[in-house]
This record gives sequence, structure tokens and C-alpha cells, in this order.
Amino acid sequence: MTAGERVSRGWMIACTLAVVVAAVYFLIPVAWLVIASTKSTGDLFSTPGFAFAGFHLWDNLRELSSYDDGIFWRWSLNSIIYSVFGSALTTFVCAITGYALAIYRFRGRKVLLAAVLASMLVPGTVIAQPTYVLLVEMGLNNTYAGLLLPALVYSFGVLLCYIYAQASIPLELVEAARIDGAGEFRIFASMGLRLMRTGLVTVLLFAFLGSWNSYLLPLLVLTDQELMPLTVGLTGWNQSAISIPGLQILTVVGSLISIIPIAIVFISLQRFWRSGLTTGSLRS
Amino acid sequence: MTAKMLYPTRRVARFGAIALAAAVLVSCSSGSDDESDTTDEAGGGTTTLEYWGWVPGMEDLVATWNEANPDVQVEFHRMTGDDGEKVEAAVDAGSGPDIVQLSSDVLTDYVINDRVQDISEFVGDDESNYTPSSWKAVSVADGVYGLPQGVGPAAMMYRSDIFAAHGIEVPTTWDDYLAAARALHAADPNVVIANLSPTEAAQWQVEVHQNGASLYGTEGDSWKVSVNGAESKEVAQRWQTLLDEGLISTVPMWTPEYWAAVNEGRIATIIQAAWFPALLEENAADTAGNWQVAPMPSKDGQPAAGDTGGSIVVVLRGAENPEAAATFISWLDGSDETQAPLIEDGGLFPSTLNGLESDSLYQPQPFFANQVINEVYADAVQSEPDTWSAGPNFATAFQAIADEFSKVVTGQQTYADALDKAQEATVADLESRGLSVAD
Amino acid sequence: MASVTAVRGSRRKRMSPAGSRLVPYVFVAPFVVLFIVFLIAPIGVAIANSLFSQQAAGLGFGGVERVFVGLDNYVRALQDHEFVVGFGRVLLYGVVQIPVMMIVAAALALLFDTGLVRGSRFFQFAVFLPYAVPGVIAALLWGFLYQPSVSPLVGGLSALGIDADFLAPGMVLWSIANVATWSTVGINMIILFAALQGVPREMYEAARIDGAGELRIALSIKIPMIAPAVLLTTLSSIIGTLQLFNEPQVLKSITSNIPSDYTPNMAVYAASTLDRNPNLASAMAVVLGLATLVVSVVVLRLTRRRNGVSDGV
Repeated sequence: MTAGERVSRGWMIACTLAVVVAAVYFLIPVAWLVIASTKSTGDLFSTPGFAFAGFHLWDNLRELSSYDDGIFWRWSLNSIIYSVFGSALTTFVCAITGYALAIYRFRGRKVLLAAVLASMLVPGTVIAQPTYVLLVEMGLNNTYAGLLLPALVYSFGVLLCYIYAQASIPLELVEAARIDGAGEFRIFASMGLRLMRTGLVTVLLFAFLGSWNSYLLPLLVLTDQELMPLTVGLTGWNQSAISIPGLQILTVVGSLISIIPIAIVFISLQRFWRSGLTTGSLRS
Repeated sequence: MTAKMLYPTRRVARFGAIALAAAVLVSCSSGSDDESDTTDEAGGGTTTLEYWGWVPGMEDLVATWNEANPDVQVEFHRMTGDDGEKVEAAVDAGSGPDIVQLSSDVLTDYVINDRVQDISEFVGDDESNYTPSSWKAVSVADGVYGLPQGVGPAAMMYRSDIFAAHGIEVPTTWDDYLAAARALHAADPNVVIANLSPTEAAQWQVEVHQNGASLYGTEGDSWKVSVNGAESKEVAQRWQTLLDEGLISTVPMWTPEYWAAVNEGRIATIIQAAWFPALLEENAADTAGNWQVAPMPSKDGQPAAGDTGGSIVVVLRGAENPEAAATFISWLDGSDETQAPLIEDGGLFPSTLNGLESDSLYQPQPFFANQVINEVYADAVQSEPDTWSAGPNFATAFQAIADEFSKVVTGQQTYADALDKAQEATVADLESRGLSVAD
Repeated sequence: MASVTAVRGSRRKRMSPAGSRLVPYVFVAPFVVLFIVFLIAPIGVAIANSLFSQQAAGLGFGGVERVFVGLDNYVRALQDHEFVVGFGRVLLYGVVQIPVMMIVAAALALLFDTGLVRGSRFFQFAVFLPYAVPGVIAALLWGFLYQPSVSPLVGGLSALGIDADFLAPGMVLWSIANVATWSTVGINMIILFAALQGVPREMYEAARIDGAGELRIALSIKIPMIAPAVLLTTLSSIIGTLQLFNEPQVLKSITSNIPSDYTPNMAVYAASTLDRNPNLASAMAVVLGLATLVVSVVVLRLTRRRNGVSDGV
């Protein structure tokens, strides 16, 4: 609050007002979701969006839990498993690759960097079908591995890790560790990862959100309902709602619940940004 | 899902289809430990069949079969929406199921691309139990590729209370229909006789079919496309008049907006297939007792109905034991044992003779003031012209029609123009595949 | 950007102690292998596919043959009026949506960075929350808010005498932009805010002593300091815009004013699923990829020429 004390009260009010307006804009649809979750299917179509009708939230939750033997919770669990393991592995792969690109000079390094950058421009539509065919050839369709492996190719994450490593790991430290006789992997694991820590949290968050919201890949790769994540399950419900109308409200309630884990993740990571998460990396 | 899925889900509710773009940038997907394939490898002489479908209650039917047939075990996977797009990719990659449920319109494409197996040698005897038009739906170019699992005859649901309140007769001919549309609108400007959704062509298909036409036909070794044929243009003229006089609404089908209009009594009639009443009941529960079902209007008042197309169950290319697969489908779709569950739990309108005789089909419906509505639909099946035949790029044609109709309701062109453009797009697509198209 | 990073890299000293030659290759090996298998190989297959066509004859029942057609699919894609118009549409969209989104994100990040906002943790959470809503669901939510009969917004506006039709032909593009803005401001705000937090506070003290106001400090010190982050987020947004798909695809189901080939990516999707022509779809996707590349390079060139910001990334 060092700055705040010196600034006029008017500024403070203006700033707060601006933020309040923004918050209203961002929360309105979420508020709609909350209110809609308490309605019955019929009321969803026949009552005003921001007015409560009959309170059916508990009924809806009960129905959500029992529909198709509680498949919704299975999907939730899958999403959590995929996101936690997927983001951890992805972050590791990104970290070691970005670290190597930043610390070492080796033949092919520039080519790899250019390829990583260029790959960010590839539309997912280009590779969806060939990727699926490839996974089938490898016998990985409808398996966790089939979902996991393609997701590890996260160019944006590699790029971020490369930037973070450049910014936060002094080469002199690496050199000193070598003189102390530490192996290269040890230097990476014990020193590199530690110094890049705050940056890795960002990559981890992006990877987690990416996994959580991922739709196309699991849709293509998975056949078993029991293996599906929330996005695919809820979208399927939404589509089926045309012919099984009761699913419309379950989609709404399910969506509301699906936001909760991300909200928790965000709140628990929020303190990292305060402390200067990206330490210098994204500054000039 | 029921036969309803054919239209709504495949076309409209591509609703999800999502994440392509986003997936690329901040992509990074999910995953966890490897887990071996969940398929149960049964030993000995047991055959395991994989079956993908969407009809509700299918799990129970499959369980019944599995209990009675220990040597042919079926594994059922429920499909939702976008899964439909997956079937082709899966078959082409060699990882498809043995058996899959399809909308009958796409079968020709499957045959051309060699994705299905001819099972006529195993199911030839079944023909006598199926209605001729539904049998036609599984027969392409001398082969029989599966068995029908339901059809979509259309009839007209109408708000008896609204017609009564204004003293307007329920129309039986299209001329009456236009007159009723004008009378209704004059009596209450908030009410339209119908909503003609531009985003999906199902109702269009029904009316063109009723008019004794088809979008596709063959001439020798060439396809004939009649998206803008004379019968089709006649329907276009009728719609144009309704639109120009402001007698219809054009809200996209299946949207909350649409259901709100239905709930508020702003739509007086709905011409839709036999699977629609259950949806109406669920989505507009408050209007219970106000609806009745009548045959759809026709040119001369004589019974004539159209059809939204049926659903079929086919044996895919990769099936190693087509005979076992065919035997299972034959039991599933045609046996006496399965008819009641398919009707009651699956919500299907039967394509089988024993299904059409089933008591479970003819129950009074409280929502429709205790009318036995399926009697109307059963009559509709009988009065459908024998003209409809499937063609190779149905999805392309339907999307083209929907895209062009959308420009009609914003006043950019007429329905007739729209049909001409859709015709052009459909023909161009066929020709780009090397198929021969007659002028 | 490639050259940018390379420039930065070359400033560093070369390090290759004896015996560790192989180490970097071992480190990047997992990624490179996965990259080749799951990115390069599929792209190769897609490019190959784009040069072929599935051809049948007559009624088509004689079987389908895979024929090499050279660039025919590309010619067909570029002759497809709607496909080409789609590029113009997303460019128009991007020219408006990206600046608006970036300005909102930057303004919020700066507001939070001033420390003047009470309860900023809550407000940050509120701004971020939409990003947690999966794309499908986001468009579904807004779908309810756009449709006149069920929308509280349309009702509220008409009570004020404003007749809003969010789904009208001329309006629907901006309704899509609104959904995209709503969803993505949060993540961009966080990236910019994190960058701002990394700027040493002393930087501002001198300016304050010189009598510069908060606004002045924000515009002439803070923004330039986080220019690389701004560039990164802008570039991501440009790429995302050219590949615009989720929002229009979902909103398509509630309005007839979004045809199946409204954006290039939707056209790709429609070609591969509705038209069942993966070869044409591959060609379209390659065109889209190249267009993305061109636009990104142009933007980088422009920004570098103007103020040299990209040097920092």
C-alpha cells in the first residue's frame, strides 16, 4: 500500500468503481449459471433468466449424481486425474527442454527453437485426424496413454520455460556446480528446477487449465464413457439434451460444479502472482 | 437417444465440436497412467462384438442377449453427439466397432467408401417383418447392410385450445393451412401457424417427401439430384407465401428461444416425426392437455405423410464375424421380445410389423388429452409415398440447404433461389468425388 | 520471434564442457521424440493428404480410388468464395476484438497493480473465473443471454428503450467477440499482472518524485516495461483469432446467421465432417496455417520496427 497513501481518494474511488463494473460484466453469466442451476427443465425455458423459480437445486444435484449410475462423478475424477498427472508431466517435459535450450549450445538448437515457435501456429484441425490414425496404429486409442502422450507436446510451455530459464538461471551458478562435481541432471534437478520454480508454476497452471478444458483430443481418442473427462461428457449431454430434455438442466448444474476445482486451483495459486511469479522473465 | 438424434444431434447440435482452435494454443491435454485396453478378451470359441449406439435402454437389451448367448457377447458403447463423426475415422483407421447405429441417410456414403459389409445372406429372411420403406433404407445397390431400427413418420401436432378459441378449423389441406395461418394471425398477431426453422432441413425433407419426391435418384449409371426439383419448388412456393405474409416464425429449432415460443403458445402447429411428442411433453410440460395430433395437411386432403428418415443398425467393415453380428441385429431389431422395450424405453417408432402390432405402441397419452397419438403416426407410415431414396452426400446437401435458407429468412434471397444454390453445391460436391451426375 | 530468441541466445557464452556433449540431446530427447511423432508426422500426413483425392466413378459402388491430384484441392479451397470471405471476417474481427480485449486486460492489470483497489484478490478472481468455464459452456451461457425470449439482457435493454438483437446478421460477429473477450481477458490480465509485479517498484519512485501522475506512470513506464508480455499475449490472441472456432461453432446452434463456413477453421471442420472430404479439409487447414504464419510474421515485423519491443522476449 505504499503507493496508495500518496494518491488522492478520488483516484481510489475511480479505480474501485472501474473494477466493480468489470467484475459485474465477468460475473453476470456465472450468476445466470448459479440461478439456472436451481431451476427445473421447464422453468429454464419459461422463466426469466435472473429470477428464481421453484428451487430445484437439490433435486438437480441428486439427479446429477444418479444419472447413468453417477457417471458425472466418474468424469470429474477423470478430469482431475488427467489434469493433475498430465500437467505435472507436461511441466517436467517443458522444463527440461526449455532448460536445455537456454543453458546449452548444441547443434540443432536453433532449428528446434524455430520449430517450437512455428508449431504454435499449426491449427489443431490439421493434425487431429492423422494423430488419431497414428494412435490407432500404436494401439493407444481408448487408453490413458493415448490421451497423455500427444498432450505432452506443449510448445507454448517449452517456450515459456526457455524464457524463464534464461532469465532466472545465471550461467555462473551452473559452472560453479560443475566445478563442485555435480552431474548435469543433478544440476538441472536440484538447482535449475528450483530457480525456475515460480515460472514453472505458471506453466503448470496453463497446462492444468489446458488439460481441464481439453475437448478434441479426448473426444477422438476415447470411446469408453468411463474414461471420459468432464468436457466431453458435458458436451455430449448438451447435445443429447435435444432428445433427452432432462439432460439440459443436468448440463447446467454439471457446468457449475465443473468450475469449482479450477476456482480452487486459482485461489490457491493466487499468492504466487503477488510475489512476482515471473521474476523478470517477461520484462525487458 | 432415439431416432430423433438423426436430425437434431448430428446437424444442429454440433454444439460442442469445440476446442480445435483453443486446443492448439494453450493446448496441452489430459492424461494419466497407461491402462490396458478394457476389452474383455473372452477365451475359447467366444465371439465378442462391439456395438455403438444411442438408443436409451439399450444396455438392458444387450444384457438380455448376453445372458442367453454366452458364446456371442456384445459390448455396448453409448454414443453422444460428436461421436457420430468419429465412426468414420474409426472404421477407416481399422479401430471401429463391429456394429453401429446410423441415420439411414448416410448409409450410401458408407457403402461407397467401403465401410460396411453386405449381410444379405444372413438376414434375407427378415425382410418380411419390416415395412417396405424401412427395408429400402438398408438396401443399397443390391446389398443389404443392416437392419432398420425405427422410422420417423410425420404428423401435425396442434394447439386445439388456440384453434378452438378463435373458431378456426384444423386444416387438412395446404390451402386450408394457408387460410388458417392468415385467420390465426389476424385473430392474434402473437400467434403463428408454424415455426419453419432455417437451420435444419428436416421439415423440408418431410414436405418434399410428402409431395412425392426425393432429393436423390439414379439415371442409369449417374446420380440425379433434385434439391431444386419441381416438387421441391412447389414446397418452396408455399413457404415463401407464409414467410412473405409474416405468418410464420423462423427461430432456429431446438434452441431455448424455440422452446420458449412453444411454451408461450406462440406456435399453433408443429409438423414433426413420431419421436417428437415425447420431447414436446418434456419441454413444454405446462401446455399439457392443449395439444392434439392430426395427419399432416396434404394437397387434396387425402392422407399423405412424409418421413424424417430412420435409424438403422449396420455391420461395419472390420467385423470379423459378420454372421454373429447379423444374428444379433436380427434379434435386437426384429424379435418379438425386443419390440416393447424399443418402443417404451427407446422411444422408437417401429419399422417392424410385429412392432406396429405391439400394444405398447397404442397407449393413450395424457399430455395429448388422452389421444392415442401413435394411431395417427401408424397411418402416416401407410400413407408415405414410395419415392424417397437416399444419396451419397446427404450431409452436404442438408447443410447447403440450411445455410441458404438462413439467408432467406434475413431477406437476402427467396426459398427458390436457396434451393438452386443448394442444388449447385450438392452437384459440385458429387462431381468433385468423381461421381457421375445426370443433368 | 525465432530470430529474436536466437539473438538473445547468442549473447550467452557457449558452454560445452568435455564429456557433456550428449547431455543437451538427452535432455531435449523426450520432447523432440514426442514432437516428431505427434506433431511433425501428423502435419506431414496432412500435407500429403492435401495432395490426394478420393475418387469414385459412376454411382460410386465400384470402389474408391486414392488419386494424386497435385494442388487441385488448394485451387478448390481458394476458389471457395465462403472460405476466402471467412478470412476477411476473422481479420475484421481481430482488428476490433484483439485491441479491445488487450486494452481491457491491460487496464485491469494496471488497476490491480496500483494497489488502490480494495479487495483486489476477489476482483481478480472474478475477472479470471470465466477462463475456468469450458468453451462449450461459455457459449451456452451467452447463448441464453442472447436469445430474446429467455434473455434477461434483451429484456432489460428493451425496458430502457433499446431494441437489441444480439444475433442479427450484422451484430452476431460482435456477439461472438464478446464471448471470446469475456473468456480470455482473465488469463491475459494474469500474465500482464504477473509481469507488472516483476517490475521493481523503485522504477516508479523517481517518476513520482518528478511529479508524474499514476496515469502517466502507467502509460509511459509500466506499459513499456512489460512490452514483451504484451507482445506475447497479443501474438497468442492473433493466432487464436485466425483459428476462431469454438464460440461461433456453439452459437451457430442458436442462430441461423452463422453458416457452417463462417470462419476458416469452421470451414475446415465442415469440409472434413459434413462434406466428408478430409483431403480438401487438409488443404484448407494448410492454407489456414500458412495465413497464420504470415500474419504473425507481419505483426512481429511491424512491432519490431516501431519500437523494438520484441528484442526482450
